Amino acid sequence: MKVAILGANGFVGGRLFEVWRRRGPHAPRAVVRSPAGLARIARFAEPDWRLADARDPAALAAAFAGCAAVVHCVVGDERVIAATVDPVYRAAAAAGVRDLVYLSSASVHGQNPPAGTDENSPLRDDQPISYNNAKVRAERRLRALAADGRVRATILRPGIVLGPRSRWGTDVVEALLDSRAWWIGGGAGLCNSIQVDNLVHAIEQVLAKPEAAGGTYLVGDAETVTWRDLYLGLAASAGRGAEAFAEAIPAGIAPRGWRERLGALKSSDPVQAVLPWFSPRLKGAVNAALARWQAAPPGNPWALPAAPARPRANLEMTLLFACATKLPHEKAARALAYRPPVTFADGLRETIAWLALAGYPVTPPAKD
Amino acid sequence: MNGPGPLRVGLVGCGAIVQSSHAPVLRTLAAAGRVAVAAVVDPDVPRREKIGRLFPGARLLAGIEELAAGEIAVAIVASPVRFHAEQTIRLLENGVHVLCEKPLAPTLAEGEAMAAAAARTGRVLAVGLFRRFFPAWEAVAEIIAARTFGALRRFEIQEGGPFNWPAATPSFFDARQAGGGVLLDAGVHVLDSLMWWLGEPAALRYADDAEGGLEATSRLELDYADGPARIQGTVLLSRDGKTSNRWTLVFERGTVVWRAGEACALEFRPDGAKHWFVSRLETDTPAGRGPAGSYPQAFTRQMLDVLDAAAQGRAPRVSADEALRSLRLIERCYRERTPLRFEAL
Repeated sequence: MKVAILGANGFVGGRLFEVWRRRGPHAPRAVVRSPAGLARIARFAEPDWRLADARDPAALAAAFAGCAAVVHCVVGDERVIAATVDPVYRAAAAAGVRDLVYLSSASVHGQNPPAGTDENSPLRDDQPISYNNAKVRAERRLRALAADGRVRATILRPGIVLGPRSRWGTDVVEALLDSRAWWIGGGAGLCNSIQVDNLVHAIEQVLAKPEAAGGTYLVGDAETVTWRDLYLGLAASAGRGAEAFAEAIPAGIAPRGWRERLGALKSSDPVQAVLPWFSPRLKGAVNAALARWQAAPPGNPWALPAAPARPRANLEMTLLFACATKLPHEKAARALAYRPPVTFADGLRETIAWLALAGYPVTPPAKD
Repeated sequence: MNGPGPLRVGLVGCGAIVQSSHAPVLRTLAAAGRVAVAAVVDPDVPRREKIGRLFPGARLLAGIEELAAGEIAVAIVASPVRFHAEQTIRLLENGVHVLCEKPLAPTLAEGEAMAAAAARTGRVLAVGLFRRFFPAWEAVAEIIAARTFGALRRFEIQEGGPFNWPAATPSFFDARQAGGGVLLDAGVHVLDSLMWWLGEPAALRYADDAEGGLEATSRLELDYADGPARIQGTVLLSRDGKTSNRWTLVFERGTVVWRAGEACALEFRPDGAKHWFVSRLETDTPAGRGPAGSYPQAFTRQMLDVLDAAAQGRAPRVSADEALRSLRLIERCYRERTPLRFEAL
């Protein structure tokens, strides 16, 4: 079937387009905001693409015309997350699209969810991470919209999406190469990973199982893995080991200075909510003043040479490294016949192979 | 000024490169009395009106066929590459000197036809490989030629990142219009520099990630003869993933690093030295020593070179024949391409 991939220039959307162009089963149509988003899509002969802003229902409806399904893979900050739900649903309905697959996030349950968390666990939109709250509200809004029954809206909640081009791979390898890699607690916390190709499989299963469409599903890798497994696997590709990772100071443990507190206040939900009321000019002036005020004081020119400062983790990474719960995907297995086809080891190998191809000085482990 | 008055210039194409670079250069030259922009040409009305507002005296035209005979003396052709040959040849045949944006043409055959038209008409055909005017590139050329650190032995070039050029149209990504992907679009600068510095490679291996369309990542391995010795190098180009955007040249007695886009800076470390030298290039002038140039200045110097070449009847620094050398190498790469897939590693 013809499926529109909204955000096909991103990590997940790009992979979905690539996989379907190579082997089907669906005919993908890339929907991106600007011509610059076509670089990866254009690798294929005569790619099907449309330009549309994910906040513009008329442009989206035109882009979705003739598609049986839409996969919403748009990546963005809290405002983009909030602003793209209504237009996408309404455009899908107007274009006669049957299925909408919305890529939410397992982080709606928090980065360190309690044991026993599953799709039925109540969600909160007053979490300390604004991104989580935005995804919770987006899910609620989508459910409210889909109550009209015009489009079947299925919500997928992937965890940490790994694989070729994943920032979780590139960021760690870059930090390793720059000798600034770190973890917390030796990386013993659980990483609720999902290989990008397993997420592709989950999307395909939603489209293949109309009887299960319309639900909400957590999806992840088959294995239970730790951050240590991921980090050491990446480190080995660069000839490094556990010694390459400094033990970071978790957020909330070290006292925060007024500069950091001001930064946190700026990005908090209440402040973000009222910002649109002010003119861009005023916001620009205030931001510039705050930036000057927040800038770290110049170093003491007479200071003794010091050892590098211990890295300090932000709240999101602190919570992720503290995670002790493997999120289940039994519901997806049962209703969607979700059977993650890529093992963690194979996914890691592909990630490293892509990094090598992208010019990083890493060596993928030998194939079994 | 002592000349016959400002040269009348036409802008053909009103995309991002004109907005960001050619228009500011022409405004500066117009203020200095060197040029007068007489025509702004683009079939897209809002685009030509936007650029036209910068040049109040210019006629706004939909196509070059609307130009009157003698209306312009010099044209900057900055349209999508598939129009370069047709427009440039027509302008040359009408007696107009041309600065054609890079890549010169989507195919070698079209490029050769353009060069032939320039030779036939005696007009200047310069190619917008503006990095030739970077002081940093001039310095690297000198370091290689003078063997300042001994002979060059190997190099590693990485350039590019997720595509973020504010393209006005999707023509970059339309195989029928673009003629090639990252190798032709960005790689033409890299291969032009290597042709300038090292000449023809003795051998090459090329791979890219195109799957029937336009490549987003290219990898090139090059081998040059240097007397009995070899110079071996790799080039990685991407409009997909992040790269280091670093050119590393390893000589017998030291290493030189150029960071892509830094018009006027180089880094080097002589072998055995503990530290890197990070240098800003300066030039001696009668008024004292000063910065050797800048990124915008490369466009200004390029345009001045075209104007001087037209006035003096000499070849420009980057002639069509010069540009054909890298275009020829690119065609060879495409002809000998092998697939680049991480799944195969």
